[in-house]
Amino acid sequence: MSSISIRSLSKRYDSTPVLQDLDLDVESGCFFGLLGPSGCGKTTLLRLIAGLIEPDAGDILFDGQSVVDVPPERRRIGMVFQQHVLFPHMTVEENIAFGLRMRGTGLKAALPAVNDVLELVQLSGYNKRFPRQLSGGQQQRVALARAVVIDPVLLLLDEPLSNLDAKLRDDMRELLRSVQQRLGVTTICVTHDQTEAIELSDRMAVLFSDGIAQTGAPAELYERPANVQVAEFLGSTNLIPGTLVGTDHAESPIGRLRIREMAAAQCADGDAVQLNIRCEHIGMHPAGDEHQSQAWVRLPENHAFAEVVSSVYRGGFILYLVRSGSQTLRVIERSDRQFVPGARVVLRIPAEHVGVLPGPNGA
Amino acid sequence: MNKARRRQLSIFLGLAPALSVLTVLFVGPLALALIQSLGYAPIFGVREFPTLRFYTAVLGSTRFRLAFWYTMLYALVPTVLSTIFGTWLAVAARARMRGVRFLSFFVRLPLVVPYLVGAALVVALFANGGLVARVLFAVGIIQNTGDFPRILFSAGGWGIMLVYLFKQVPFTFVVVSSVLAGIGPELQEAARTLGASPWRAFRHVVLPRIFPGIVTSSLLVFAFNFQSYEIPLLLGPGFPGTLPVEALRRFQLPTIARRPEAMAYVMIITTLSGGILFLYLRAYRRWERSRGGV
Repeated sequence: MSSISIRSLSKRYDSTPVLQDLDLDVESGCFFGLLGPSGCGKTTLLRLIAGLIEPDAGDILFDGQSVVDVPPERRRIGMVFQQHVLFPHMTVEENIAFGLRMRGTGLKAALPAVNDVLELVQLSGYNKRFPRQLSGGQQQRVALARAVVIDPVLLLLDEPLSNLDAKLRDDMRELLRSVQQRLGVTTICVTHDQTEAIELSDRMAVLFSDGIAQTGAPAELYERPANVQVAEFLGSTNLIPGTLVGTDHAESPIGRLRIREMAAAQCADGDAVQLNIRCEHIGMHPAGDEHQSQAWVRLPENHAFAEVVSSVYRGGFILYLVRSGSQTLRVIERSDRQFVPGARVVLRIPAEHVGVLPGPNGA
Repeated sequence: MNKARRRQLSIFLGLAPALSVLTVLFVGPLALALIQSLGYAPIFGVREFPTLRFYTAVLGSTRFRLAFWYTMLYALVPTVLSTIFGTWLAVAARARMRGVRFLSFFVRLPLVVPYLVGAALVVALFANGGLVARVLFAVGIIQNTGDFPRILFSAGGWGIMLVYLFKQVPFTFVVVSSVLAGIGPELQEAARTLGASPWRAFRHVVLPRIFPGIVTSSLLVFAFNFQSYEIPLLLGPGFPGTLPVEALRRFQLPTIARRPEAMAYVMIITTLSGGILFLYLRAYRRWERSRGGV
């Protein structure tokens, strides 16, 4: 396994810049998720690392050694493509043995290793089948086995689960994680699925068309996004315009809110900001009889009255749209606590979950 | 009339025009040639049916054996070369190799030119008084245009094969290109990441995928070359001719009673050509089945 460093990497397609001056570090043995919307250049970055395309500028280093001039066949990488890309004229065992054969091992000599990885991906006994005789999930597992059997220094996964249905995706996600942990191979997984990235990654980066917006542990990115783009891209959140009051409070359309400690470290008193509150961090309680008229009731800090506008059942939870003052908020609640549209509720917003993002529009 | 019968009738009526043309233009003449080759040709004064005399006469002659080997040579060499060059061009054009895009445009042009024009071009270029000979003479490489090596009208068949290549490299290029267009670059890229050099990725991954296109184009090219008579007649030697040329010469003999020999030639050419193509196709199908029928 290798550590990967990317330095000032740039790539254009014709006159369109896809990646500009990109820097990234991936530690050895890490499962690194590269998350971003379609068209942001994440697959291009993966193909540059694989050596399938050449950068216009910058460097790619494996363990400190530049590989920019090394052809893909000599980079010792394993790659799993979005469309599986199994060789249709080869059996499962021939597909998996392909990388070993290209390294001078005969098919017979490669068979023990082939059988080992088939067991690893839970496909023992499928040796003689052709790809067209396998389901999508099985094909993707063969693709994974083919990529890891060569003992790569780096495993690249290009949207490996995007062509699978929901159930298969869950199974495959677990398999990917267990295989990576067992082999300890440095892995970069490109995806536009935030759940996939958060669940699989030790560390992850969010990439937009203007570059990497933030790098860190999944929980760090989710809980403390660096800007509005990241906050909106990762999960469901509420962004409320506000004005900082001192270093620990902010005025907002739903009232004065205490904010998370150090949340406003980059801002000063009076700055216009966006308050970031995750939907699941807002507590919702029925307003008591005494609260039916809010005119004379004083609520505790970080509490606000609201009225339920609509609700959408989503399996184990319900997503509510509520209106508090001039602000509409999204709130996620357990499905065993139901509120009907029009119901008056009290929102509780814990200070530790009120983040501050710079700029009135996140700018 | 019940529904099933009506359906059968409508299928038959739908196929009838095509079947009629096939019968009139192909099966009819072939059946006539077979009957005549077996000795029933009253129009030529031959009424010996059934006899294998004409086949024995043809197959036993040195002329036939020589014609067979030259036919194979003129058919096989251009087939192999056009398959190699046409495939290489198609692959290189897809890989956007420098200069190949320009070349691939020009290589298509001969497709719209008749074979006879190709023959005229080859004569203009490579005959002893042709353009190449004159240029070599002008620059002093040869002392006389007559010193230019005799590559036309000789048993070597260079002129014949040049015309075939002129037409068939573009043909193979177009067929293989269309097959390649259906295969994305992903397979080759996957092979590269697994340690295959560009050549090995092509050999192990791309080539098996474009093999059906290569087989199809080479089958058509070989069948044409084996049965073609105008180019060998124009650019080949007086002796020996190819099998179709020999058939034509038998047909033009003043002794019309020997015309069934021409029909024996026709039947032998058809059988040989069909047999070779059948064996080739069977070998390919067997290989294809061993690869899971893809």
